[in-house]
Amino acid sequence: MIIRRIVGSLTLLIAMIALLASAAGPANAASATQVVSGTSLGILAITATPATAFATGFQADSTANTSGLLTLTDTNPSWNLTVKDAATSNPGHMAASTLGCSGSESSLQNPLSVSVTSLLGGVTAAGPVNISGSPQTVASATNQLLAASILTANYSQPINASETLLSGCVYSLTATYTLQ
Amino acid sequence: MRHQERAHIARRVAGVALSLAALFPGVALALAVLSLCLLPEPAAATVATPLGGAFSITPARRYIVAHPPLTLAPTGVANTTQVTLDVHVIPVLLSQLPSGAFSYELTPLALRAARGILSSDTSHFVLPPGASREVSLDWHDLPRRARTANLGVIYQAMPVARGTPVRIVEQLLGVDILRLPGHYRSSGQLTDLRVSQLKPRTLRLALDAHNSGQDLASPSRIALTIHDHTGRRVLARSLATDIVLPGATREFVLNLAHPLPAGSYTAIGHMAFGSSHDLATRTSFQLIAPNELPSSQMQLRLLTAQGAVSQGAQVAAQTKNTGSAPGTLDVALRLYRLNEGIPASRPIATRAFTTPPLAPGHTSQLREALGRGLHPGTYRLLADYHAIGGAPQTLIADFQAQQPLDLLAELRGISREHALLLPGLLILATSVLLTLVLARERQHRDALQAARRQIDELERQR
Repeated sequence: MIIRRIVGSLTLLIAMIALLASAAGPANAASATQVVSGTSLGILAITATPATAFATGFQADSTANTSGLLTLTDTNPSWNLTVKDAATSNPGHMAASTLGCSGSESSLQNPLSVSVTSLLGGVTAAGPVNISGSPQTVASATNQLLAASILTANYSQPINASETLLSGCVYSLTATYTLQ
Repeated sequence: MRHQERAHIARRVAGVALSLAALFPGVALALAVLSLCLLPEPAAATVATPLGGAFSITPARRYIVAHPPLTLAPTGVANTTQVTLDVHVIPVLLSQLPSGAFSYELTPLALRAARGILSSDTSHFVLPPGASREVSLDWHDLPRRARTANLGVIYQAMPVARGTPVRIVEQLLGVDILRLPGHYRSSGQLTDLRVSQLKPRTLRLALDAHNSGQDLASPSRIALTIHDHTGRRVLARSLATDIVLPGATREFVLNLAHPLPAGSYTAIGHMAFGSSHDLATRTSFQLIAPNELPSSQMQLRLLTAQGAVSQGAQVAAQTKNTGSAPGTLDVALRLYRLNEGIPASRPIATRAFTTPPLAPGHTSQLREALGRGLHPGTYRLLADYHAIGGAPQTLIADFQAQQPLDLLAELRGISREHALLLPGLLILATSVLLTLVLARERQHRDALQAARRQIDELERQR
């Protein structure tokens, strides 16, 4: 019985503490004068939603377009987003799959171009950028925080009239996006 | 769940716990604990996580003043996505591009040098969905005689995504600025100011700031003013400052949509950088219309090609500048052999070049040679260039490669192409002959007159 009462009292105490804690307002409303300081830790986060397959235009003498999404978080208001193709052979050019592409162009003559856009006012978009082996800035800011902010990557692939593309041959490229 | 909603629910749960404490202490305890759990998290932890999760690191940037060797606070790496991530950790030496973006080399030598300064306890691990782990970083040393080092750590993740034309590798660059305690000289220079046309009616003014100091620093003030031809200040803007690595030059940009009428202007860049105060650089520019710089508008036209068997193709075209500033044109030529009117899959010759600068309003004739050893047959020449506005343009010229002509046939061909050439040459020859005869006659007349004068002189003396 005594133990039961002690537990009950303890519960009451904890509940009161919880109530007081939850009712507490912002730190500056506290009556105590203890100075508490803290530095928030910077966070970088990235998620890329891969581009969907080129629906139309992926043929000779045409330009194919598609888009993907980039979700970015950066607690530093000054940031840069770069893109590059780390492929050692013909970087920036979409390459044919090793299977089912006999007789088709091994890689496309024109580089894949990407244009990153954002609705955020402080973001500077670099406009269309031809992807290459060197990192190139596609979007940046000097004063714009990113909190799971969504940027759209619009891909454009011009294909020359003289290029021979075998029906069913799959072309692809691996784009490396770096947030800093 | 938002901060306020969470606090409100915690308050309600604690209230219920309080009312039940006397009757059901066990339930009340559980509710009290639940209310504590529901208390809002600190601000630093409430960074929004995107729907579907993210690959993240924290902290992202660190400025460490210490003596190595030192173990840095670990970096938290988290995967809140739905897919397993293959994560690589790569320490790199940082440099800086004019845009402000950090750059790095991935050569074995550069990577070894970076690892000699800062290394991680792991270089590769697999992060399942919802998992996180800490990566420990050890600062070993500094390069010889250096007091600072600018390091980055690349956290690279490759999500599994099949059947997409553009696969994505995600990289996050953590920055670690390492330096020994002590005093560092902080100074800077303004090295250039450029004005260009960003888009119609928007000017781009770019100011280059060089960090000539010993440590990473930011300009304390950076601004631009524009003055008209009378010297009156018509615009003043401050620019957002940001860090510049020692030895690096960074571009600070103002995109100006504020309309400036046509006329002559001087832009002046102002900067204070560490111990360097009142730095300034200037440039003059002309506007031909509101916010419109003179610009070239280059065109390529009248493309022709011809070629003889065993020789190369002779390409001719005309370039024209209809703009208001001198301009050049980047031209790419491709020569294909036609087989029953269809071009071969690959060109037999290509050539890319830039035309010489052409003054506004002028045209210029372009002559280039392309390929060699043509066989009898039909050929197609394509000339690619970017027209006004950046749209790609292609001019096409087909020709037959024929046996080379002998001298007589060539002369006949020339006379057929240039109908006035032969009569012109005849008139020219006649004129030259007539001039020679007249000159000879004048010489004789002069000699005769001289002889007469001598005879008259002799007669007078006699």
